[in-house]
Amino acid sequence: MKRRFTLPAAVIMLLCSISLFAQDRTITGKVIADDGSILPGVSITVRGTTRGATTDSEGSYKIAVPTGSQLVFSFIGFTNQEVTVGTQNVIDVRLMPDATQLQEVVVTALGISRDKKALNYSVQEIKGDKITAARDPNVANALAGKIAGVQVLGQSAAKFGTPNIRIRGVNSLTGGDPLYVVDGTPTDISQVNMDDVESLSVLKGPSATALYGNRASGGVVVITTKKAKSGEAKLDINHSTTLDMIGLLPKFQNEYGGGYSQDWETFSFNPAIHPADWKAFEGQKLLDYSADESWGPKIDGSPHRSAFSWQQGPEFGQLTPYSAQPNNVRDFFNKPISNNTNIAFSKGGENFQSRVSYTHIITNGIIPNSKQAKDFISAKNSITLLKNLTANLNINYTSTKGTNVPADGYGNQTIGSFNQWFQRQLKIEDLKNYKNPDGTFRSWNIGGPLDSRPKYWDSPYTQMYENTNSRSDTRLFGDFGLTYQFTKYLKGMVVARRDQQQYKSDAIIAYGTLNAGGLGAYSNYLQNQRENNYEGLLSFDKTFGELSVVANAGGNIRYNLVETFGQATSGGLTSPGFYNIAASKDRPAISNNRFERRVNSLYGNVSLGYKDIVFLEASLRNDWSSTLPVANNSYLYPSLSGGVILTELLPRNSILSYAKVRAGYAQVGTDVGPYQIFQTYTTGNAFGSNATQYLPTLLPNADLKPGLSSSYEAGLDMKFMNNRFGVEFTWYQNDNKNQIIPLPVDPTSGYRNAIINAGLIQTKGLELHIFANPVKSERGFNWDFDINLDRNRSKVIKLADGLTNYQLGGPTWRTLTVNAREGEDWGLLVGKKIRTLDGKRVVDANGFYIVDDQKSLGSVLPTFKGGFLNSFTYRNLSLRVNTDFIVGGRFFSTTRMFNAYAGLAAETAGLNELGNPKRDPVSAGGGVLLDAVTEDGKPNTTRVETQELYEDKFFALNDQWTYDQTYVKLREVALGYNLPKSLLSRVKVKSANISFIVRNPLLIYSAVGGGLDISESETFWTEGGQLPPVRSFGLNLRLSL
Amino acid sequence: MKKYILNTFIVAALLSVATSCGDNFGTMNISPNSPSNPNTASILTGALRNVGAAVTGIQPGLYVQHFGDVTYIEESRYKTVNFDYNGFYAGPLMNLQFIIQQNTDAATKSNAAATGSNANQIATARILKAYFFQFLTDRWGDIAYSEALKAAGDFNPKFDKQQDIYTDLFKEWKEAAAQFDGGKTVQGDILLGGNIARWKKFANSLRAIAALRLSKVDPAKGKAEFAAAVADGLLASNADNVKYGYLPEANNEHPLYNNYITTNRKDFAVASTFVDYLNKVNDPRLPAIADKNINGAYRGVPYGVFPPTWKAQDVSLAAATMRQQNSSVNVLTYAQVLFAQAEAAQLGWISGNAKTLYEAAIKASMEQWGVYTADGFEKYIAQPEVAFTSAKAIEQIATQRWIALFYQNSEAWAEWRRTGFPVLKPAEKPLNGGTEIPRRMAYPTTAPTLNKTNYDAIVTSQGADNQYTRVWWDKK
Repeated sequence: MKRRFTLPAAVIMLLCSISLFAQDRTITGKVIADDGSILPGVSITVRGTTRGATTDSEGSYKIAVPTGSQLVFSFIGFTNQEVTVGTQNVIDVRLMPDATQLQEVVVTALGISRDKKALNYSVQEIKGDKITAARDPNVANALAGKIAGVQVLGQSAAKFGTPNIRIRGVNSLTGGDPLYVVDGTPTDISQVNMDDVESLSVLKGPSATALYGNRASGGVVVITTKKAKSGEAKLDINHSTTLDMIGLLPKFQNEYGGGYSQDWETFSFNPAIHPADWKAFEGQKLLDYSADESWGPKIDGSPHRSAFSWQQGPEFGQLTPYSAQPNNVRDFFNKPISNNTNIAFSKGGENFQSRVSYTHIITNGIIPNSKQAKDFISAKNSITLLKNLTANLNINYTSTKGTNVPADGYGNQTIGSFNQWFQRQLKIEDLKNYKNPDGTFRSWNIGGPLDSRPKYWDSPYTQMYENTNSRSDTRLFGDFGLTYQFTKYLKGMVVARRDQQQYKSDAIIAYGTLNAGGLGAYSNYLQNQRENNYEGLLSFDKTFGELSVVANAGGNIRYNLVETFGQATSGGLTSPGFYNIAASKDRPAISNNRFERRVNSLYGNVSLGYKDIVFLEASLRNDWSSTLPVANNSYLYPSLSGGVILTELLPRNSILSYAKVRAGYAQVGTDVGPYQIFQTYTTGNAFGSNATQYLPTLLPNADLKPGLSSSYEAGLDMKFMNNRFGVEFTWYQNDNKNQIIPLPVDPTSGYRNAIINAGLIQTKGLELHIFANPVKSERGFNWDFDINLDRNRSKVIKLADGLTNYQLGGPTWRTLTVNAREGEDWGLLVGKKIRTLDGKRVVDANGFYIVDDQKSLGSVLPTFKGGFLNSFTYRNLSLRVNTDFIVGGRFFSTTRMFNAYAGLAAETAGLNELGNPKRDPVSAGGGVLLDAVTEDGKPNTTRVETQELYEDKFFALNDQWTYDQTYVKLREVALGYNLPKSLLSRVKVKSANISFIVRNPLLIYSAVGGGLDISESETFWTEGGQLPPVRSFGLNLRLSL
Repeated sequence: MKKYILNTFIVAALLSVATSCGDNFGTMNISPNSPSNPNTASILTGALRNVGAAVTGIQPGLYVQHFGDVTYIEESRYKTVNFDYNGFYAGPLMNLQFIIQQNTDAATKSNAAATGSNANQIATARILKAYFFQFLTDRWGDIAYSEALKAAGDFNPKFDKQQDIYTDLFKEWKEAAAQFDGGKTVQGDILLGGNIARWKKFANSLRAIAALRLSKVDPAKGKAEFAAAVADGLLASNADNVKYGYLPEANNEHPLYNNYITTNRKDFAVASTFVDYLNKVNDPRLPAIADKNINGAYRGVPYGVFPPTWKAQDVSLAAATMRQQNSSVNVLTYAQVLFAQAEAAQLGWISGNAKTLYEAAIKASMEQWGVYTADGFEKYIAQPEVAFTSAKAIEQIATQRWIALFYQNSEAWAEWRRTGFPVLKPAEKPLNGGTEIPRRMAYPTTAPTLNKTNYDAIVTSQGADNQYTRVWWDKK
């Protein structure tokens, strides 16, 4: 907790006049807190007089008082303590925390620390130790379920991705990523070193983010990093080692192998085309090696020729048993060890604080030959040079190197094949030998005995060991600033900030592999990016009697520059094995781009507090944006909020400890990306020596106005039973007017999208945060929990003249789209739907579902979502168990569709209700009977062929593969043990903790099933070929020296 | 003193922030990544690059059983119902419209004239635009036309009747061909090299073939338009053939080269229906059209049969000679023009001998495929199946045209729908909910999602948005 120095002016004056009281005795002493920590800034007054003093940075004080007077020690968050001065000259005091008045200081916009009760909007803050328990290196994952209104858009850890979050709904209409601000410098989520995080505040609505202006419409995550404390010298070491493994896979069938038909093919020798010695193979069982599906012969252990028996090497000509391989996919994945180490030095004196920190994270991928190394170096320094002048320098350097980061999504060569296009009987051992001695590549998926070139798929090992890629991202961000304290209540600050990135990547498609026509390819990409911010801020903080005033006024100049350079070979490589742009057979594809923008801003705010009862706040900001038309590039927006602490008006009681009602109104203006105003022309691939040019398919708009979002927010915060139970409730509504969107329009107009100011899009939501300390035993057992819940709905009230549908995504898989139609719920999935009659699905005379197109399949927005966080402590033991969940909201699973289409899924095999194999022909009692009725309402009695059902009828039948997102996930568990102080003092260790940590241990419930973790879905409404979740078990050791 | 300097510094910093605010940012929002000034020659090249795609889009070639699926027996069973025309509207059509506008507007026409006289550019763009629109309306029926391509002027274009579109297409081709002046040659013309005479023949031949489309629905208009087109001058030899030539480079390679060689997918082979018929009539064009299978035989892939019991090696792929990386595809040929005239003569629309024209058409086709020999030709046309018989002339012309139009997929499908010949057996188990060969493509999903009012109206007037509602000229 941050301590707040309150120095009433009267006290200062009195300090100056101490010498007037010649008869007084001088008392000295030290004030400490309950837990033994020193308390600087404690106010000591002499009852009945106006005399007083405060403790210094060591917690010591000195005051001259007459004997017999009473000293009152007071400090915010602690119960006042009175001591009568007797004969003693030294009075040491231990202050006890005041449970009824516990002050919660949170970091708000522009890094200003405020008492939470003075805020009239919802801010949820979590301390670093709460989010780093399981040492997930990513902020977004670590935040899952921990804050009401925050949704994590996860990604599989198999690709070391950076998940992101959405604040107050996935439906934020302007890109949606929140702004991440680290010690005041805007940067990227991937740049946050969890080991440096002291605290993290999520500013959700425009009331909270008003001062951040036009790019905070997705909310702001304000991160304050750790800094050294005065008088402290500390070395912290934090190390974890985890064992990672694949978390989930679909349930596969293991009864049928590769092919399209259950009938065996046999080898038929033809002397005209086959070598003479192949005569011996006559009659041997063959599979359809070109098939990447598993509708083939029943697995019966009989000798057969595998695809590899037609390829070079010792297996050539061998018959092998045609046997089930239930673990083939699982066996592909590694169980690597990963390490995460942080070491941090901090030291602070009276006039300086310095902390330097280094983190090294090696993550070895569960997919073979993939890994990522990440290093964070940071330094946070503060020097108070003159009495009133402080200089700050914060520098953060991050380097991320990815090696063979696997591709995700439909069609990727690992899980995209295993889960969607594969032969079930393959031995993963056979795939490991992916290259022939002559350099050609082997695959399970070949044309046939005489055509061993990979057909649709290389071996997954070819992909990981030959089609390699590398990525390197280096980033430097930080700030240099000066703060000058003009008077006790007025300070000025100037800061220059920069965030600078260089990202490089390259990728190889090996000569002779499937893609790039077998001729190989090489590409590379370079991006340089920087953002500069120059800020000036004047802050005023003074209390006039019972009125406290906090005011800020400032300005900011922001400049962004992005430069990209991309090159790729075309048409193959002229020299096999030489991976360089110079080896391009055709004219290589080369592009370079530059994007530049500037936003100038002036802003100010005033907060008034009366007697800790009533709080009012107002702000005003004007932005000038380079990306808008000159006539419309200036926009002004205000905010206003108020709150009343009801408990200050009620008599003190033991039930209701705290209650506050709050309400606010705020506006936020938004601009648009660069170059969306004027018509330009796109340069395309040349046709021989003829250049090509095209009209872009996005129509620019020279009359664009800034978007303006008006938000209304109201809430009630209550705490009960001496703050052991509490609830925070918030309601909000955002009216997004003139929101700038690239609206999809009917392309017969000549354009696919038009940049427009949308009429009015409304978002409403509820957020609930419940916290409790239900068990707090004398014997040291403690149980805390937090429950976060939220619900969010959006609606297009008015789009544009003559346009009523904002098509947000699709069409995909034929006719599936996701839409926001005027007057209807946002995020409506529309596509092919199975007809129903009184709630039962309807089949036609052939026993197949009757399907209608362009029907609603429900909204993608969850009914509600949230998290349940538990913390148990018993003496030196602590246990954290964090779960998060989503209820409702629809999404489409491409993986499940093809898992069944290709005959891989367990549901496509086994027995039907007659006890016969489903894959037997209907005429033999096989097939599937769909649970449905006929058009006249009678129960369906017509059995259908299983393969026809899944391949022909269920393909692109959107309804069949649309599920509720509903899931409950046990996301992290951490069992920690603090080594006893008695033990540590002997080895000069201040504190030591050892924890057993588990990440992603269990998907407790998932409506989609099928081995998918929807919390890691690539988009909010669909997934395809998604990489599997990674489960990690590990040990963490934390030492403070 | 120190304090004074600092205060000054802070105040100056704040002031500099304040004063720099209201500026207009100069040229910062002008994109350095794309030109602000168009080059109509490059835009024409860009639009022309879509001609190959219009000709070679595979589905109609599967519908008329020139091709069959090899592994995924899907499109030969009519799996895709909704087809996307959006790439043509927000693509070549819009770009051609833009060329016309740049050469028309007073403010831009003189700059535009740098790459060809205004009239020549407009004429070229109009012919092509009408070509693409005919391609679209033949597939989808009623489409956005009169209100299309107006950008922000109309984001909800209505669907026009095919009849009205055809009326306008004749006018466009006629006026455009007459519009060429003697001015500067159009640059960027990768189709006909800016050759005005060839563009005129192309436009007139398009008119003739479009006129023949009306043979059932409006023969009177068809006859008049056909005669007028012939009078204006059609393609007169194979040298006049309009061909789209691919290049020996990955970005502009022949689609079958891409499918067979580059990606090794070999998704489509010559259909058994087609190979069997060519075998039946001992057609010398077979080796120019199909390759032998691994056993050295011409074997068409069984059409529309699922599950497959063959692999690519077992069936006849399209002939290697016609699918080199830089092979050409035929957009409009002399043989087509002759078949059209043969049919018109047979219908009594024009004077001329249907038999002579029919045989000349076959000869032109054989020459075009590079297999003509006088002896072989005579033997060929002497066969009873082929020899011209007035009583079944329409069927014979249609059947020979079906052969001649191999890999002119969209055109082959349109002619098959209009004439009903040759009689084809639909796939065994169609996946589109019907039992017959498709007669139309359903609209893209964007029509109901983004232009619903007009979509609903056209479904009411034209008929259900499926593959069996016939387009206007496709009269039973």
